[in-house]
Amino acid sequence: MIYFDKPFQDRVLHLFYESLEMFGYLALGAKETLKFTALNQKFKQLENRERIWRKIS
Amino acid sequence: MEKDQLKDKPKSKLSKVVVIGGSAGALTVVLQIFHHLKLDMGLTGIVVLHRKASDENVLLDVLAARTDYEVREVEDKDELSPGVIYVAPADYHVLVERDGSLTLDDSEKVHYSRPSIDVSFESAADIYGSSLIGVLLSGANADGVAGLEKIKARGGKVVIQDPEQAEFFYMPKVAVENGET
Repeated sequence: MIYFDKPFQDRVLHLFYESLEMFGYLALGAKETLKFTALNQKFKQLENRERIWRKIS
Repeated sequence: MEKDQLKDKPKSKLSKVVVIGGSAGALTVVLQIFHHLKLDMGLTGIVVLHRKASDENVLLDVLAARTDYEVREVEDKDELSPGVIYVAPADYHVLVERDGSLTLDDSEKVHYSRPSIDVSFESAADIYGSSLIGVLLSGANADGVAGLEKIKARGGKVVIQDPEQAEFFYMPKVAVENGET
């Protein structure tokens, strides 16, 4: 995702969000985060420092 | 393209952005600088150090211990804000975007370096112009010199460590000889 600009990232993430089942997992790259995206509230990051998020709403 | 970039004002209004670049021998100086950065200065800091991939968390902890600023490693699309110092992760270039966010980039090395100081200096100069201060410290190659030139050309301030005082003089020396101070 670091190769994409913000609007395109948002589009890709939204597609993942729509495709995932509730409580499904999303794994990102080593320096990527949902923190600065609109989807941040809809996912919960796993508690270890890995880049894995779980869809919660 | 370039003209458009200049016309668009960055979304986040940051009064002073400081980008500190250094290589071999720079860490001690960065720690000394950090000690003098007070929160009421309202700075936004970006630190670009040439380093190995293995020591990242140690570096963050060491830096954070020396300042009241929040110190964090850059994540892709992180948003610049005052009171925070952003540290370039090993093996990624850090660029400043027009909307005041930071982008990571793993394209080719510049001056054998990734993160490259020139890359961050130049992109920050484009966005922050005269609100930017570029600081170039000790190092053994010329990364950062071209970036300082650009910062100056855009009306920013540049600070170079005295080569006589630097553990590795080459980087600041080239910058001084280039007439940057």
